[in-house]
Amino acid sequence: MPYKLDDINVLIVDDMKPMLDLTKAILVAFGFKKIHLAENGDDALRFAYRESLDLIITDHIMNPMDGLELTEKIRNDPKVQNPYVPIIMMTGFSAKYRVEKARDMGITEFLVKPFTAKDLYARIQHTIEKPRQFVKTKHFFGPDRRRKIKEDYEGPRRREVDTDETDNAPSTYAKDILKKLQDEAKRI
Amino acid sequence: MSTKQKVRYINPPNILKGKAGNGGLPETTLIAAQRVIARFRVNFEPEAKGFLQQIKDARQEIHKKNKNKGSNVKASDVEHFKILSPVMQLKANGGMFHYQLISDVADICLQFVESIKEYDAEVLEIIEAYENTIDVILENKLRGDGGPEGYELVMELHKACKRYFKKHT
Repeated sequence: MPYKLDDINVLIVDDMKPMLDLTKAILVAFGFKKIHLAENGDDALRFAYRESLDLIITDHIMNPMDGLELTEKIRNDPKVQNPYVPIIMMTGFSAKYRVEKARDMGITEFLVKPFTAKDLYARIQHTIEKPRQFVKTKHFFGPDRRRKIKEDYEGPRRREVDTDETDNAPSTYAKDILKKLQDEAKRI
Repeated sequence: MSTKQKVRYINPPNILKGKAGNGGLPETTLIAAQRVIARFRVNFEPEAKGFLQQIKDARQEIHKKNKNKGSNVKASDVEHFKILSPVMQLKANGGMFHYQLISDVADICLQFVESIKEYDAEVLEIIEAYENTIDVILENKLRGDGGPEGYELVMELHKACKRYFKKHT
């Protein structure tokens, strides 16, 4: 059975109206139904205060708040309902240092424009099938920036794992999700 | 002194997976979605002209600044992004809205501008050549990739950038 995307709460953020419409049309073709639109970062952030979003697809360069600043706020603003929401950033930039900067701000996936439907699907599928654990340090909160684990790595380690503090998402949040999943299971 | 950072790992619930389930999307759905892109028609010219004007304004501003200061604007200065940003928009959105030639030309320009260290007279000249090219494409309402001529044009611009780097490295 294929993915069931109709209950996924997705927000598209782009200050260029045609791009907003096009991205929405692609998501509709994929099967998404709960699609919300924002034409700037401020509106997107306000939306994230109100709704628990499951996925955000945002443009990079926007005024007055760009996609990176939006991501930083989504990850760190306590008023945001779901700071763990996967964020896919669409951009025309492809230079490596820009990808690294985006990653350092808490972006989950980077999608270079122009893109095909398959490109966008690949990023969405990646967030569904290979979710990244989150890392919280003094200076960073976001998806783990390390994608590959080298088992034979013997060099110096920058992170000191504090196992006692390792936990899951806030319990009330997790409970809500479990309840929803239980209700879904009951209906089957 | 230790430089190790204390880190806390969090495994949030995979809500997306919980809602989406298994199985992925069938190929037919992806083909249908690609058809949506192919059929999506937008007159990108007004936006493209706006971005082009931003590039022209930024180039002229840099030219004036170079002249007044007696030294070249650096790629680390704020003016750099004023050129970079609209060039990127032309590359990104041109490609999405079937103005492939504009996208290809802007892509080369973007790679060029991302690689320079400062805006000397030659760099500004090359950027102006890009502006003129995009101007012509827009004036002639050239959509798509421009055919063999479009390809030649892109190659020529590419060679101009290569010549610049050969001379300066």
